[in-house]
Amino acid sequence: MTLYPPQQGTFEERLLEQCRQYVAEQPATPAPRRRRAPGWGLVASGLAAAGLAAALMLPLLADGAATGPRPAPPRETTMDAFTISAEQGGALRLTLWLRGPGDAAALERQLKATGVDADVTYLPDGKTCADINRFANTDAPSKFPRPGEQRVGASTGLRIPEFLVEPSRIGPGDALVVMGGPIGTTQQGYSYGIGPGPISECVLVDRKP
Amino acid sequence: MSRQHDIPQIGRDPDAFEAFYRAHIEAVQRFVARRVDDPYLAADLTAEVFLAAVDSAASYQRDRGVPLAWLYGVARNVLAAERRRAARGARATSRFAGRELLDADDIARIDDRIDAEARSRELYAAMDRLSDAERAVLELVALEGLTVGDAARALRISATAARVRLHRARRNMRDSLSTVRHLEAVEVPS
Repeated sequence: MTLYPPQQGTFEERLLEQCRQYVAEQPATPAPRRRRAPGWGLVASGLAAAGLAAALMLPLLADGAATGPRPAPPRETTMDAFTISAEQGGALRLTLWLRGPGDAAALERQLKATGVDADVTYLPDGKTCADINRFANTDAPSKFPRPGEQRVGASTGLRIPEFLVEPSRIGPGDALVVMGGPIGTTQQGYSYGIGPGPISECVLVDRKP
Repeated sequence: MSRQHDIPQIGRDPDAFEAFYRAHIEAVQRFVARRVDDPYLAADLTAEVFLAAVDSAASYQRDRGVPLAWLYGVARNVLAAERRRAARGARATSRFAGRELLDADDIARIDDRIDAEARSRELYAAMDRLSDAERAVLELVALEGLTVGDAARALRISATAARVRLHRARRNMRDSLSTVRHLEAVEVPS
């Protein structure tokens, strides 16, 4: 086994420093991890970027019935289309289970009522936007809400897509963009990001298999 | 031989993580370079593999095999998630994008590594003809050098199932490998 030696000023060292900070921020006694359905285990923890332009959106997918030991989740008795709750420090916790364009419009209105300029698009299963890069300036630094805990709905057993928005990170002229919806009958997936407006319209097209 | 790291510890102790990182960063970078040919995406995926490892460390079980096999399992999930993301058409990034940590020298080094793995990527592309189950075993054994037993543990299947899938994968790959050899022969200057 070859140990990678310290080499100041390299990508590997910068990445190590970022990772060390990430580890240091982890809770001392981590909550029990949920076992996830095969094939989806890491999806909800955040994904990597692709594309030639600056990466702008972070996908969040939540799968169907969870298995194995679970942390004690808040007890949802119904599957709300969305929830917005205030966290300590001013962040907003969003959960999503959109069922149609009306849900997306309602979420957008409520976000705006809380002072967050948002563009929310419901994507029917099998659809996506013709141009997924919807920010006005694709070279702007990427900013993202944080993935949430993906809590499990007590009545449904479904893992609910969730993320945290810190309004202080949404600068003048910026908007929160959320787009997504069902993937099959028991999964939902969302992409989201914060970037400069105006946000281009989403023209729905078939998603490539 | 993979050193025995305390995997759960890497999720909460930066020093333990650093030892693990230094022992495995080259393996992860090779793993990624065998599958993608874009240095920026390679940097993002490398970052995401280690983030995912931190996230998964608390749930590590020794029966998943040696730490390297476990880490390859994590990396496979990250790459699979990336393929699903790409298929969905989403533009995405990790919580911190590896590409933002790159300078010109880094890009040149990653490009060199990607070039060096060109043959492996051809093989990997040929594996697209296999089922996911067959490809998973063949990747870990033929490309990453795990034993069948370690590959089985990484994939949470029995050693017998791994051997059967490996046998089928090799049989199904014969035509594809013939094609790859043919293409290589065409490239030889006359």
